[in-house]
Amino acid sequence: VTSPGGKLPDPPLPDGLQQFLRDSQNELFTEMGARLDTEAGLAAIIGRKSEQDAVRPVAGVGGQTAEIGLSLGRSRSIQDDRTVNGTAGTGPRSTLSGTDAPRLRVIISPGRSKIAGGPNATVGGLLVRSGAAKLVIVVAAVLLLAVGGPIAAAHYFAGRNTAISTEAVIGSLSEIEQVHVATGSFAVNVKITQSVGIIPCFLICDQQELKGSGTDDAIVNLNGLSKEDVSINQSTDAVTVRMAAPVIGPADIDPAACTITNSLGVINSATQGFRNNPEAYRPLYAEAATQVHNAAEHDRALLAEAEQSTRAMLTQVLAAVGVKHVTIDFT
Amino acid sequence: MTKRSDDRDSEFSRFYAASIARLVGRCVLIGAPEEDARGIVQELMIEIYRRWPEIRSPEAYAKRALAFRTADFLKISARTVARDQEDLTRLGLALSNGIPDDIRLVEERPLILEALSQLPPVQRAVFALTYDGFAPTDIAAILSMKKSTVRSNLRHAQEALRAWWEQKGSSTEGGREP
Repeated sequence: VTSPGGKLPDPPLPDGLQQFLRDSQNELFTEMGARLDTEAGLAAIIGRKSEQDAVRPVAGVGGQTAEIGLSLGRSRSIQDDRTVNGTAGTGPRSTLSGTDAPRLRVIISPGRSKIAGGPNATVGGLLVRSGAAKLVIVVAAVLLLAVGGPIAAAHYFAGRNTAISTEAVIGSLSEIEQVHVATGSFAVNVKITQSVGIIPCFLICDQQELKGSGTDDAIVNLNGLSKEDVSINQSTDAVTVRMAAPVIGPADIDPAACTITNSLGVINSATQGFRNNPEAYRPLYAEAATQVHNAAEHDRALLAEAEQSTRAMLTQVLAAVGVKHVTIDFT
Repeated sequence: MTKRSDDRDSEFSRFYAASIARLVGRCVLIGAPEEDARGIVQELMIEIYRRWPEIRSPEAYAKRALAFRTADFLKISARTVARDQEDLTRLGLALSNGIPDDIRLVEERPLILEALSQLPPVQRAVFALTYDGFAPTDIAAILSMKKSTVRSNLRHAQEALRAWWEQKGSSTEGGREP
């Protein structure tokens, strides 16, 4: 039984089925060809000023702002930041995220945020929390209310034939400062042996071990995009955005998902004050965070997922200003 | 073969026009949604254009690179959906649990997609790649799984397709064969 390029193992498929597969595959290719805008796709590659301006047509993706929540929500949504009771300050971060936590977090410059209501305002039924210098909000709310709504409305009233302006593109992107586009979860196992004060370790020694998991986010930063970073192809409504590739942010260690054990010597077992001092575990958490961060930086799938998520997000955002095709050129 | 730069655009244009639909179709057969398949193939085309002078056989290069890119895409999709699973390193496990239902929304026609939609994602990918001429060793590398796993998935896929075909035939008995 010979396939178009290879040999299927025995037992063979019935002749009729093979013929059906061949015919149907050809039908599929024909249909694909009929639905593709080959000319535009090719022009996006060779009809540009430089190779870096190659445009990736993603026909049909992100054409409607109504799809924002659904599309992004399918792959990832908002990071749920929670303060860990009783452990704040003991770890490198006081926030944690569960393994099933949604994963897209948008940080808007406080001065530019259009979301009102204070640090714990509810936007679209979802909780908005405020940090000291940044506001973490729901991406769907950001895109629909802060960015997509007004711009889409302006675009609507301006008419469909309005050219895409660099200012509009920059304007919509500059509303977003940072986006946590993907989250990875990693196992950690850290052992630290440290002496107590100046006493040599062979006399008194504290051995701590942390086992558990932590998370780390891939972050893209849209802050500082300039006109030079945006190329527009008016004939195909395509935009190329040059921006820094996603980077791995600081790790979050989830104390609730970690177990800390001590292998204390006889003398140390009596030093309850030392054992109960949360600060004593800071080096353990710091090392765990380093371990998670390193693992995240080497997780190619996480970075690839981050890039894919960034493309989807910008496609959605820029659809509001009439952009049909978005190419992200990660520098 | 080194291609002269002044021929590059015309050669690439011919290659693009001749192969774009087939590549998107292959990507869809392996399991990517059509719209994602377009993006995957276009990005592949950009890479091929950039590397045009050094690629000796664009067709073979595109076919193989597309398989890897599609597998990576499916792995990411599955990884995203099945985030709470501990072991996401094996494509088979991830795909078995993670492909969103809406992937099948675009697979109503043609009938080959109806046939392949009967298969679990891993079996589908293995069958599509085999049908496209990849050897089990290649498929094992593309899908990050053992060769024996490839063979067993292929066997199950063929059994399922045979059963689907027979059922299809019996349901149209008295009429034309499916």
